[in-house]
Amino acid sequence: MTTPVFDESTLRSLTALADSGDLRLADDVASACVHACATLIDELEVLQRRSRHISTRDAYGILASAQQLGLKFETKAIGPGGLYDVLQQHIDTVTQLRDLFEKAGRAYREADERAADMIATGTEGP
Amino acid sequence: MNTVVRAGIAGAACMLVFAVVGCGSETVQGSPTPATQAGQPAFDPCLLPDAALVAAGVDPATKDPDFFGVRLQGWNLCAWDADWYFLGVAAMTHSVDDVRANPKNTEIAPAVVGNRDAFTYREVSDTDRKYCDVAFGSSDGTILIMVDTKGSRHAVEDPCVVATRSANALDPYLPQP
Repeated sequence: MTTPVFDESTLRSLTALADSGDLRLADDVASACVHACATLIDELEVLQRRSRHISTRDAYGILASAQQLGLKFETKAIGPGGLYDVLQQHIDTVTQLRDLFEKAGRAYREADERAADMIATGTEGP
Repeated sequence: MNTVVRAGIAGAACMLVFAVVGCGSETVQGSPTPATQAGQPAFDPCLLPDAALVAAGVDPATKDPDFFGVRLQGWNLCAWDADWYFLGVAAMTHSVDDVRANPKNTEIAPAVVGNRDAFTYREVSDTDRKYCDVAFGSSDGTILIMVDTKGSRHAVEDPCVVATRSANALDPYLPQP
């Protein structure tokens, strides 16, 4: 099996901080990060689809033995722990990162709106 | 906190580079001589008209030709983006019987595309049931219509249903039996 790109518990902790409003990212920074993640996800998905297609093509050989060989290669490319799975792991991680940035940006906007409301109403903050 | 986030992005980028290098090396290695027939199908799915692609539910502007950009003997391939999946169309010199007999294919089920007999199939390794193809014969070799659910998405409907529907939308533009 492959090693995860990120420690999932770290990502979960960061996401929980963003959920509770303790991790905030300025709106433009968060948007840029979300966009970068989305672009990376798109590219990884294309690689994943291309790897499936090349595996499909490779599975047609002139002899039955070549097809069996194709099946063996496929377990490397598409099977458990293969390239397809590795790409999936990357997609999952970057998707989590994208969600984290979205939440951190939202936390910033909400904090900003609360501050503006307090100023407008003359209420003192905590 | 920013340091952690930056390190995360850098890590993801490094792993992507690793993945790209790994994939690239696959395409330049030798490949076996194509099987049953020499030559190349005349039909090029990348030349399908935009109207046909829109009818099939894909974005014509996302065209991705061949295998990592390399045309391989006996195959013409093109793929496009749809909402939650990719659609691939291939013409190949292998017969529909080759597709049916290929040990990587499973769950072969009859389907109808226009007025031709077709069949859908999944791949043995596809334990998450993320993709499905439909295969049928034509005057220019075998046509495969391939649906791949995107890695960050869940299938909104059965990929075999999408593949068959897309094949029927494209049927008038494909080489006939």
